[in-house]
Amino acid sequence: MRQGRHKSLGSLRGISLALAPFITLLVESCASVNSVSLTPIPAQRSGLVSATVSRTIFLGFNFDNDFVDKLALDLKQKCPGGIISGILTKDEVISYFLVFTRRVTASGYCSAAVAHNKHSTRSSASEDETSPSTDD
Amino acid sequence: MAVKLAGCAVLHHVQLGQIDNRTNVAQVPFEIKVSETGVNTQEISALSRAAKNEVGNTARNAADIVSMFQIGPRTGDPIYDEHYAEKVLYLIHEKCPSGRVTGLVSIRETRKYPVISGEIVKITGYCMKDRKPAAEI
Repeated sequence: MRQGRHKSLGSLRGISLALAPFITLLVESCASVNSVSLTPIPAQRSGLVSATVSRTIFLGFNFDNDFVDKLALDLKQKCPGGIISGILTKDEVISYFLVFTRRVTASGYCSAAVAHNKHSTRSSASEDETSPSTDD
Repeated sequence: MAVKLAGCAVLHHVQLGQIDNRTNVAQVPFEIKVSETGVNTQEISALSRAAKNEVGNTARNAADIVSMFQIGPRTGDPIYDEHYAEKVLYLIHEKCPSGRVTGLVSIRETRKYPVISGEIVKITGYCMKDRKPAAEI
């Protein structure tokens, strides 16, 4: 009886040892940064806000990238009535077994509108267009 | 087959611009999309190989030679006119003549089909317009 139990425990251990590499393979992930970009950083850096959107894609089957459209809206909602500048946009890929997650994170400094009202809105628009960007 | 024809979307780059969320201006959303057709010479070569005839061999050799001039890092497939994305500046001006734009999101993506692809640059943003007092409307 005891020998039988010992045998079954041994076989269970053997199975779990055999499965371990596969489980590790499933859980393990590799991250890579696709691109990073930054807009001009304000002098007063306070009120950090951030928003993240992501999509998990199986075997590369992805038919649109509309999930990114939500990013600007999410960030806007976190800074009602203010101006978000110094926005760092990070686009990364986290790869799992047969699946990868595309994650875009944007974080910036939310300043109260009062401080920025002195500047014209035109200057803020031109900053948008000339923002530096770096690709990997 | 249906999946192949639907066209997979590949995201290459996302960039967010400064967001002006002040309430004293109205924000009108706009979207601009420019694209160019990309050609995958490796897929042409593979399809020609499958044809197994003289024409297929010639096409494969031509595709192989062309692909030698297309090495190096890139996003998506090679295109004929690399200046296609430059017109977005004018298109933004068309959509927002005042030039007061905010919340610009620039997306570079690829729509992948067999052999060809759509190399897309999409810009979304908001055109700021002054709110008129209720009495003036």
